[in-house]
Amino acid sequence: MRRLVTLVFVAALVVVMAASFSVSAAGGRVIVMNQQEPNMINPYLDSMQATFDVSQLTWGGMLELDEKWELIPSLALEVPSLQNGGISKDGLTYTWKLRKDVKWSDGAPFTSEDIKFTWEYIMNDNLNVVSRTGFEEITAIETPDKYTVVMKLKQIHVPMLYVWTGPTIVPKHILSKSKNLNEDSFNMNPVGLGPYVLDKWEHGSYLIFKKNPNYWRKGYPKLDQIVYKPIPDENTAFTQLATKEIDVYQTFPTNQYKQVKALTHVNVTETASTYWEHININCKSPLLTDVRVRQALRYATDLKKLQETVYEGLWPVAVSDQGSPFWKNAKLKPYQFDLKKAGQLLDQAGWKLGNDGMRYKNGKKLTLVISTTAGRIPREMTEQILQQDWKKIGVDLVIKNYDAGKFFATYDEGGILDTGDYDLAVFAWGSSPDPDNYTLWHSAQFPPAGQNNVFWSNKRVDELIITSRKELDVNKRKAMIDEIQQIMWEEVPMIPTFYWVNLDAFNKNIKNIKPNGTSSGNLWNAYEWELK
Amino acid sequence: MAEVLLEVKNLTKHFPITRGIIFQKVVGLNKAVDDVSFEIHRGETLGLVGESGCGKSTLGRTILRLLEATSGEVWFEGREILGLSYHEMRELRRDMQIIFQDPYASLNPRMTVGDIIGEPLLIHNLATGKALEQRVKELLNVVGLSGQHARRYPHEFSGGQRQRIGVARALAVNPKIIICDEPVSALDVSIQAQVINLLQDLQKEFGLTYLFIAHDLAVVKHISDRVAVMYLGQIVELTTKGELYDNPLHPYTKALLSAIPIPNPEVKRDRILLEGDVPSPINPPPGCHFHTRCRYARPECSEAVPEWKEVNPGHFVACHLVK
Amino acid sequence: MGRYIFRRILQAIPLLIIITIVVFALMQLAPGGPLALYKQNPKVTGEDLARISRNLGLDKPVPIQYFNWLKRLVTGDWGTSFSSSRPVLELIKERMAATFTLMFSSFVISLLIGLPIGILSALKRYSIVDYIVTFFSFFGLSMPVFWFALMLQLLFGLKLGWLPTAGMKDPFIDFELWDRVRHLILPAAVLSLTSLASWSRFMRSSLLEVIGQDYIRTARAKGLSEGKVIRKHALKNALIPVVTIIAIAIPGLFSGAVITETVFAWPGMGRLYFDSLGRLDYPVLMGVLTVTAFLVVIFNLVADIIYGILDPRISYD
Ligand SMILES: Nc1ncnc2c1ncn2[C@@H]1O[C@H](COP(=O)(O)OP(=O)(O)OP(=O)(O)O)[C@@H](O)[C@H]1O
Ligand SMILES: [Mg+2]
Repeated sequence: MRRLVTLVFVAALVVVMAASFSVSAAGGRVIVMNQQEPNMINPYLDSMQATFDVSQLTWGGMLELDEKWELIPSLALEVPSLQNGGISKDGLTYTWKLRKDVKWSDGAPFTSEDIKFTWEYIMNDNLNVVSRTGFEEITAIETPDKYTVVMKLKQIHVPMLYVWTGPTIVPKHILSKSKNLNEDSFNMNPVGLGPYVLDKWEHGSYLIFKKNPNYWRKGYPKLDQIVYKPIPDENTAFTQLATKEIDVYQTFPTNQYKQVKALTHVNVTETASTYWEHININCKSPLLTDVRVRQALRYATDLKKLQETVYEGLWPVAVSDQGSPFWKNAKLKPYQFDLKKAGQLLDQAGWKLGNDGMRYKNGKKLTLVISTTAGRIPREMTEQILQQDWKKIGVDLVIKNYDAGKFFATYDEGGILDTGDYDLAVFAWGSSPDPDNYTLWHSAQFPPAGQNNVFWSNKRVDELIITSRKELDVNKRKAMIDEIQQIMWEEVPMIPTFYWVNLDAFNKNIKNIKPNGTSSGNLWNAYEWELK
Repeated sequence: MAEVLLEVKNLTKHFPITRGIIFQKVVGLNKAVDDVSFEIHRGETLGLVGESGCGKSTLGRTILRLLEATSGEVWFEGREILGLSYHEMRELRRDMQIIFQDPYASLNPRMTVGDIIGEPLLIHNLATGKALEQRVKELLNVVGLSGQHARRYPHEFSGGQRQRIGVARALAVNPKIIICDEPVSALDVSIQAQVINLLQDLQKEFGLTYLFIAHDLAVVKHISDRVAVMYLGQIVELTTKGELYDNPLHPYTKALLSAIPIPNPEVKRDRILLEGDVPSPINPPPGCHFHTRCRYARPECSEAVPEWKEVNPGHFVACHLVK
Repeated sequence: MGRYIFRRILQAIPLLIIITIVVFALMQLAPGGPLALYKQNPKVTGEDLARISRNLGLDKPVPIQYFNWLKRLVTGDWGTSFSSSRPVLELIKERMAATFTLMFSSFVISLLIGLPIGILSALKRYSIVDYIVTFFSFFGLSMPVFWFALMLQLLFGLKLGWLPTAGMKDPFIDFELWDRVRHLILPAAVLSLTSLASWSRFMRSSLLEVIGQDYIRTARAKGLSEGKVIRKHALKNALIPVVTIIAIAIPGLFSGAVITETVFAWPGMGRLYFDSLGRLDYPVLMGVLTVTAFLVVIFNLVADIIYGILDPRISYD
């Protein structure tokens, strides 16, 4: 009898298991994985990519940045320019024409008042906004009618268009009544202009988005649902992709490349990112003030080897701080790996080889300290390869790594980078599609004021940065940015190494995938996503 | 002489010594009890003495089948009990009881005294309910405790009281024989006498038979009718108390006797000191086990095992010197 | 007894306060601080950082920050998260059920499997069974959790397709017991691994020790059957230290939950802790650690009380 009961029980178990496994992902939904869970759905108050991703789904902007990093109109009828009069001749006035048929997800009409309110919202001192860059340049916003916005600027600010690109607009009719903007429920479940609205957020598990019934693009979005599922562990994420428990595996690590490629049901996309990996050279360090020493180090950096051994040949070699195909100085070539030349440069700089094969000047040995965030294996490998190669030219490289917190900490908190407590530092910067890197290279931006933590100052570059920021003519500006790159190529305040490549995997049944390597990410065009 | 109640024939208990973690190998034998024979008569007290580690407890436990014997026979009331089934043996435990050496460790700390004493009655279906309570009370009174103590836990009692509880528990099933394994050696000297007197009184009252184990002769002298002397797993001498104390034959017995403190300091006695430590029961010395410490040892002592012979009527000894 | 408990709870309050001070101080030692995260964004200026720091109250001296935190805690306000600006208590409440489900299942698994195999290997000491159990418990104690989890995911998720590999529920099933159970199996198995192994070892050694006691011999001498000797006499005594150790070890399951929840994307407090650690979200970290400290104090008390109930030799006055 007992045995019979057990048998029945086991049989029931098997049936239920079989039945519940046949749940399929069909029915117009896509499950997108991300390593982190968004903190909220408000990109102004949080700088995580996850937060930005889900804001892409629910918020709207006047412009969008497409997969070619080009600006296209979204809620604005056209991209303002000198030609179409959207930007005044002096560059101080921007006039925007808005679509008239747009509603917020709650059905309220979208008007120019919302744009003006968004600016006021960001400038509110009580709001914990991460960055006000760009908004601070605006002195006033006028709304001559419901569908026209006129912005007045303090000074020319070329990246102004990017300020209004992507998830940027907040609803006046909701937030003007808010008692506490930082803790408003809007931040968790926004009324927006995007293709989707939040349906359910099971914290720690997933966010389910459903169609926004009031979305302005007729016939869109195509999918019924998008599920955003945070999975912190890479191995788990891979398994979930393999079992089809997720459809999109975002930014997987290079060491999983072969594994993911081997799955027959997914497409892998390799997208150039705005992040660029480099080696900071501390120009304040007495050993590194001489340009020839810096150049020597750059000649002694074997990018080919690093590319093959560290990045599985996937990441392209960088020549400058500009990653965008448009802004990159096409005339620049990477330094050819050349130890002999490096040795000569060091000789010229007065660093002579000693009997022990190391370089000395006035009895002092050429010992440099290289640092990075401990535990980032590619960076640690980079350090080791440099250590071996540089030894051949007599440079003694000492590796001293730090916890990420300590490494990136602010000047006041004694951060390694900001206090200049290093000779060389390996890390990455992420930039926006606009080429302006004022905070990184201008001599007024030494920490704590800004982020010039290579402590490099160059009169000409300072001048170019300031004038290029005010140059509305793209071609003229391009020439200036090219010159900055040229100077940096010669002066070597840092050694650019690689542009990051985002690796994403998509189930083959999803159509219209257009990944964008900037923070716009993969979801910027989710309204177009469709199942085959 | 009264009839034989318990007879032990060539009883042997060897503990294997093993090595190895996963695949164990027997590397030696601890001959804790080695070919022991004797008998106990109904109503008598047989004392069993020997140094610590010589196998007294092992002998007692093997007789009661708390340890399985390696070989030999134990006859109780004309029945061989080592061959009894597990079930039959459990029945038989009514007749054969044991009192342990350590009054602290031998009582289950999580049971009340009443439960400890009452449990055997329940097992053997001797009493339940009110009758059980009544019987427990009686038993407590018999050993000099009060009925109220039944509700308390062992830790609330002194050592002497606990040993009384142990006695009451052993008595509960009206056993025929009780093996007392050093029942007083853990107690204060002042308490020892009380417990021994209690045991003697009970023996008279219930006609009990005792195998009384002790490690020195002084205690045994008081209570025993006959005494067996044990050395390294073997009994070397066995006779009546009077004979043993007046006319010890085995050199080991003599040594033990000379170590007893004498109440009257006027009387002088030669002290025979035992030299060296007790050899290990693991691979004991060949021939007479005692020869390594015996002041009279001769060459043959290390060669041949001495015969177990009756020198005088009722006086057994195993020694090459005794003819 | 009631008095004793009351007294112990009173004693626990200063203890808890000391724990929170230590934890708060330790968090300050963590390099970088919550602002480091914003720093990696090149668009963030020094001015932005100063403003954020002011808004989060990080510009005040550390002791003041602590007192403000404590003052609010007493009134039931656990602060708001730096990264999501949501009340910490709400975040914790949201995650509590998931963590307790996981901890409770692992607890039950460890208990129902760990103790019996511990008992079995003690009773069959030095037998093949004992060696197998011993081997697996050392295996269990020394196996990296990540690796074990991955193996289970690959076997039951990918290879056999029987179980989901992560998460607590299917997003498209509202509530269904079987769905929940299926999701629970792997994480609970992983979380229970260590405790199962160590509890079974503990049960084994405790029972072995008791079995060697004289009162077990006494029980046999009484004529009890072997089964009853084990159940009534040996186990009851052997369980006293085991139960106590287990009660003390329960909060330890929580620290295991941090890893397990992260690997299985389980929406519990351990995961919340892990995520907040990456961002040095002080209020959330303090909240979770305070809950843990509570658990430790409570389960220590529970352990003492259980000990008192099980062991008549202990009395509380
Ligand atoms: N369960 C057991 N397993 C293995 N060896 C044992 C066991 N019990 C006893 N021994 C060994 O058998 C020998 C005799 O021990 P036993 O306890 O019988 O001595 P004893 O004469 O009672 O000593 P004491 O006066 O100290 O109680 C000792 O060497 C002891 O180590
Ligand atoms: Mg003994």
